[in-house]
Amino acid sequence: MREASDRSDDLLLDDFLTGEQEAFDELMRRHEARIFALAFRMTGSRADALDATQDTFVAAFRQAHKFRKDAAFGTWLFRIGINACKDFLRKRNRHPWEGDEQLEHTAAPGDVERTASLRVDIVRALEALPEEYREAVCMHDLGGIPYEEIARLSGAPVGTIKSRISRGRRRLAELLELPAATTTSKDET
Amino acid sequence: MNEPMDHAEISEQLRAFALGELSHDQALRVRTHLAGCGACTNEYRALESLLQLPAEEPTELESRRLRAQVLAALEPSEQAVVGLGKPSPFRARIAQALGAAALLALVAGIGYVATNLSGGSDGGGVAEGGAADTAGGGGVADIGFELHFRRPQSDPFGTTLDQSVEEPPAPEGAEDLTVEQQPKEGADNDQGSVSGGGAGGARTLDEPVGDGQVRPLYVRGAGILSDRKLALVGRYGLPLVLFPQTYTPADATDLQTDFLARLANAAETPERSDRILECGSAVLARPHPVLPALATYGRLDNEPTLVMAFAWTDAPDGPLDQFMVWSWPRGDCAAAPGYRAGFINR
Repeated sequence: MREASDRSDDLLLDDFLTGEQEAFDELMRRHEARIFALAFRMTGSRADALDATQDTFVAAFRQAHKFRKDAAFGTWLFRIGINACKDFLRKRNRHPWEGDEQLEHTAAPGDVERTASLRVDIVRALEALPEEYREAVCMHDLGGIPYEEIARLSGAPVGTIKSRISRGRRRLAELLELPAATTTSKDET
Repeated sequence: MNEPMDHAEISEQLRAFALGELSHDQALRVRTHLAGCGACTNEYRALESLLQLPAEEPTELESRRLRAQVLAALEPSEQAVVGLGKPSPFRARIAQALGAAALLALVAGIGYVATNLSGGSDGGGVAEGGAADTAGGGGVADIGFELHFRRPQSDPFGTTLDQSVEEPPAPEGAEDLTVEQQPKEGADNDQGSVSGGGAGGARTLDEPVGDGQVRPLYVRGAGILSDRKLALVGRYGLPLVLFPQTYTPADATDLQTDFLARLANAAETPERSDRILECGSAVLARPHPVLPALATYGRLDNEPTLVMAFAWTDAPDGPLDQFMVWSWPRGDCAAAPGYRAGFINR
């Protein structure tokens, strides 16, 4: 049998489902950094990011047998990560005293408040987006997932995904109350 | 060369533009468009805000532990579904542990009787393991042990409680863990609301456990619980019991049934003792050696709930630096349990 590191994600998933723990380890090794990065961006603390990453993988492995492979495993996993972070934040927000205790380890003192405030604003704004906009924006802008890949996972045309991302960003700008740029180009529709 | 770009084209290139991944010419075209298009500029600003959020990567240690935690979080039945329920080197020991737990169910019943007999007044209650009806199994035990319901003054567990158990070092504004202690009735008696468990086969409370430093903690009257509080119990509560600094996976394997019985024996009623043994045994059957560190009953989502916290590690030699907190609504071990896991605060 080939080394786990030489196998594709799909092959590893098959091997994982038939009981190979090495495949489980390799899948996590490959994808945990991206999920952790997403979770850290959303939660702002290493401890919470670890918890949210854990929730993501537990959910993914519980649903692994349902994965239809119409998109890449990493794309499917990332979408689970977005939802896991959202659920994690919803639970945590019931206890707003918890959460930012580790920010001081990741930013200079002057940046801490600004970063925390920005994150809270962005997370709130993302939560306020329609789900299909939020998912597309997070997958593409935070996850770097190509339009075509998101379209495959969502079962929507690529043009629809592009439109969701564009509209989602503009709506996000409104929600973030970013100073509006007033210039209007002649071909604006 | 510098043909105007439409909004859709710009939108598609904005991320690469923001990350500096476009060629000079491409970037120039985007910049030119943005200078004259308010809608695309707004889109770009929103994207910039998203990308300003700092991203971190897990350390190698976090990564390793994360994998172990995910594996541990999958129920044995789920691991079987996904094929990870292979025989483990711990299976034989677990089988022994479960057998011992069944036996200790009898012990716990006797311990409870002894607790009631002692009245919690002068700490002199002693039960001899001869024959007694047990609440759990209703059978008769003759296993040749004795229980001493007296905690010695030198017991470091008691010292820990006296000093710091009232409130865990939670973040400012955190809810209390509401660890209640009943008034002590005598200088030599500290069998209060928080207790270290009593039964443990032939071991007595006067004997050292492990290296003699710690014992499991049963908390009476945990009050209203929440998901977050359960995580706090694991993260901040377990250090109060000093498990993390003291025990290794080998200790966990050796002592887990002893500690489980101690927790069961400290419960307020035989029914609760039974539930602790039953639910706790299910957790001991998991593929990693875990040490039952803390148990309590409280109300979670308006349901009376059994909560048990376990210390464990994925490192070969410990220390036990991670927690699992399980919660069973109504103490029903067959019900889907709640689960929290993470690192114990140091």
